[in-house]
Amino acid sequence: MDNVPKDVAASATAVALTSRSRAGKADDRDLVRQAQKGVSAAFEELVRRHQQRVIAVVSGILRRREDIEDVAQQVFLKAYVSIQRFDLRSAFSTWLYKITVNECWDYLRKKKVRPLSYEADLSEEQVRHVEQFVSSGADAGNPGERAELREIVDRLLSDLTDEDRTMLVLKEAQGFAVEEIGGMLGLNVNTVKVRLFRARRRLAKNYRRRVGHGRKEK
Amino acid sequence: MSEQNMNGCEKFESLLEDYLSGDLPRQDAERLASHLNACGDCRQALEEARLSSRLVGLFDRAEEPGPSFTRLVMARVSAAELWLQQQKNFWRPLEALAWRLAFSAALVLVFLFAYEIKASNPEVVPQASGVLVQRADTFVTPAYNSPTNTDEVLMAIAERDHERQ
Ligand SMILES: [Zn+2]
Repeated sequence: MDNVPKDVAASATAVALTSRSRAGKADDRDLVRQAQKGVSAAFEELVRRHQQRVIAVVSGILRRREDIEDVAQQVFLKAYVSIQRFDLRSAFSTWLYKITVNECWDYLRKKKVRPLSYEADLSEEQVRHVEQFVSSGADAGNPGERAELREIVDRLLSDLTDEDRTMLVLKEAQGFAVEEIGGMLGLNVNTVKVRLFRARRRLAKNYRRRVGHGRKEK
Repeated sequence: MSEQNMNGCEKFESLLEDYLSGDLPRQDAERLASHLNACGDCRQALEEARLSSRLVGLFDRAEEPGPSFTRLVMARVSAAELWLQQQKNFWRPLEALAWRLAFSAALVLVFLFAYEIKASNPEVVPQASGVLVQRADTFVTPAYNSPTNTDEVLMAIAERDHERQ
C-alpha cells in the first residue's frame, strides 16, 4: 500500500490481531493496548466488534433514526481520541458505553430534541388505539400501527428523567443486562433494578393519567 | 421521585424487577410469592410494571449498522488526524514567533520590575522568577478529559500528540 515501513508493520500486526481474534485469542485488552500504541487497525477491529451494541445504545436513547449512525460514529471518534487515558481497569465495552451515553445525552441537550411535547394531549383516536392494544394483549398489527403506538409511548416516556428513560429502554427494548446498564451509568446493580422498577411504574402511571383519563379509577 | 410510600415494600422492588426479567433466584421466589399473596400494593405495582413492559416492548431492537459503518468511522479518524497535522504545519512558524515574543516580553518585564524594586528599595530581592512563571502560564494547554464537540476532539488529538512527542 504505502512505502512507509511503520505502516506495513502496523498492518502486519493488525492481520495477526484479526486472525488471533478469529481463533478467539486477541481479547479487547490486547486490541486496546495496540490501539494505544497507535496501531489504527487494532482500533478498527474494536470498532467492528462493538459497533452493533453502541448503535443499540444510541438508538435506545435517541429514538430518532436519522441521527443514530452519525452519533455512533462520533462516539468512536471520541473513544479513539481518549483511548490513551483508558486505564483498562474496566471492560473496554463499559468504558465505551459510558462515552456513548454521555454523547447521547449531550446531543439531546444541545439539540433540545423533545419533538413530542408531553404538554400536548393525545388525540381521541390515539387514546382509543393504545387502549385497544393494551387491553387486547395481542400484537400491534401492521408496521404503521406499531409506529403510531411507539410515538404514543415516546410521549408517555418523555417526563421520565434521561437516566430512567435510558435504563428502561435499554433493558426492555435493546436487551442490555442490568450489570451492563449499571456500568454505563456508574450505578450498582441493585440500584439499577430498583430504579428500573420505579421507572416502569412511572410510565404506567403516565399511561393511566393520559390514556386512562375519563375512565373511572378503580 | 418516590411520591408514594410503599410501607416497607421497597425491599421487594429489586425482586420484582428480577421476577419481570425472569432472573429471580429460586430461593427468593417463595419469599416474593408469599409477600405478593399478602400485599395488594405490590400486586398492583407488578401489574403496572407489566403494562410498561408491554408498552416499551413496542420499540424494536436496533438495526444492524450499515455495511460501511467501520469505514466511515475510520475516515473520520483519519480526517481528524489530517486536519490536525495541517493545523500544526500552519501554526508552527507563528507558534515559534509567539514564543519568542513572549520570552522577550517576559525578559523586558523582569528588567523593568527589577529596576523598579532596586530604584525604590535596594534591600529587597527582586521576585523576577515569579514574573517569568506567570508569563509562561499563559501558554499552558488546558487538559481535556471528555471532549464534547468536534473542536475539542481535535484539541484532544493535538494534546495527545504533544504528550507522545
Ligand atoms: Zn408489598
